[in-house]
Amino acid sequence: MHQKTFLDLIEPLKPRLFGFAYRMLRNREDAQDALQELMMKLWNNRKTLATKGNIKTYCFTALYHDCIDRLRKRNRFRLVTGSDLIEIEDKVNVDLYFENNDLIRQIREAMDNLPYKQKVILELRDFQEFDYEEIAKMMNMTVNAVRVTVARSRAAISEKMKKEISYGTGTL
Amino acid sequence: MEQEHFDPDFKELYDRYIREEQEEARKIYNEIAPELTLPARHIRRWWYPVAAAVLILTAGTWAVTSDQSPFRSKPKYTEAEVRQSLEKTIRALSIYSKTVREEFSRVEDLTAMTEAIKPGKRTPAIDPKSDSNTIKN
Repeated sequence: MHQKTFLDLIEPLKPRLFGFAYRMLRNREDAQDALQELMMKLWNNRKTLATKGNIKTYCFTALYHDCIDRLRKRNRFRLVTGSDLIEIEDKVNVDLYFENNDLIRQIREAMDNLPYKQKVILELRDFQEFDYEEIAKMMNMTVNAVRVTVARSRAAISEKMKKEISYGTGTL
Repeated sequence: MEQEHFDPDFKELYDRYIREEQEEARKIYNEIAPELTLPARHIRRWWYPVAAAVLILTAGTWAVTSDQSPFRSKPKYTEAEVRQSLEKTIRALSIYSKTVREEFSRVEDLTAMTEAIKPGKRTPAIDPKSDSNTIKN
């Protein structure tokens, strides 16, 4: 693959890939490193990139696995045996960006506190706008399982927010 | 965006959350984007053989033409230089030998004088009658 073709293919994906890594890792430097490593990996495998099928799906899948590795190294995660879920053990830092926006900050907290796989699936669906079929392929799940996960995750966030609001911490 | 599982009241808030998250990530991305580079952008592939060829040419030229090159064999001195150097040496040696000869003759004179005034060796007494002491007019 020629350099120009490669860049034409990858450049438009970079902001979205960074956003994904940033929300998964909640750390600017780690997200930058993850994206840089992905770029290098893609560049080194550019000859076989055409055979990978959907480049966008391939990039997000590779980045997802890289994020999991990074989080494991960070020792912030534990593997929940049997359920194939990775959960955040410690509380994530809430960025100052949302300091003055309580409801938004609470949604963010609720999202970050979802089991990791649910968070990834919801991110891929709502932020990256992948089809259920694509997500199923990326996460190695059935389409139905993805649908159920998305529904449960949204419901969990919605319920949590309802509780918060009913306790008078904010208004819709 | 399909959000069929959301409370309609909550949907608007969730959409705002997504927009703000994306905006934040975009803002950070714009800051770090210049640092995200591929090595291929800086070092293009054709540079390697060109750089290698230039290096080989430079080293080869230096090895063949430079005076300091250990690979270059050339006579150290020309015949004229050797002749000139020999002449200089001979001239210097002859001057030196002349000086040495003069110094030796002086030393010989000094030795003779020293011998003459050696203690215990009587100087000949002056004979008043001797002809040699008489000033002849």
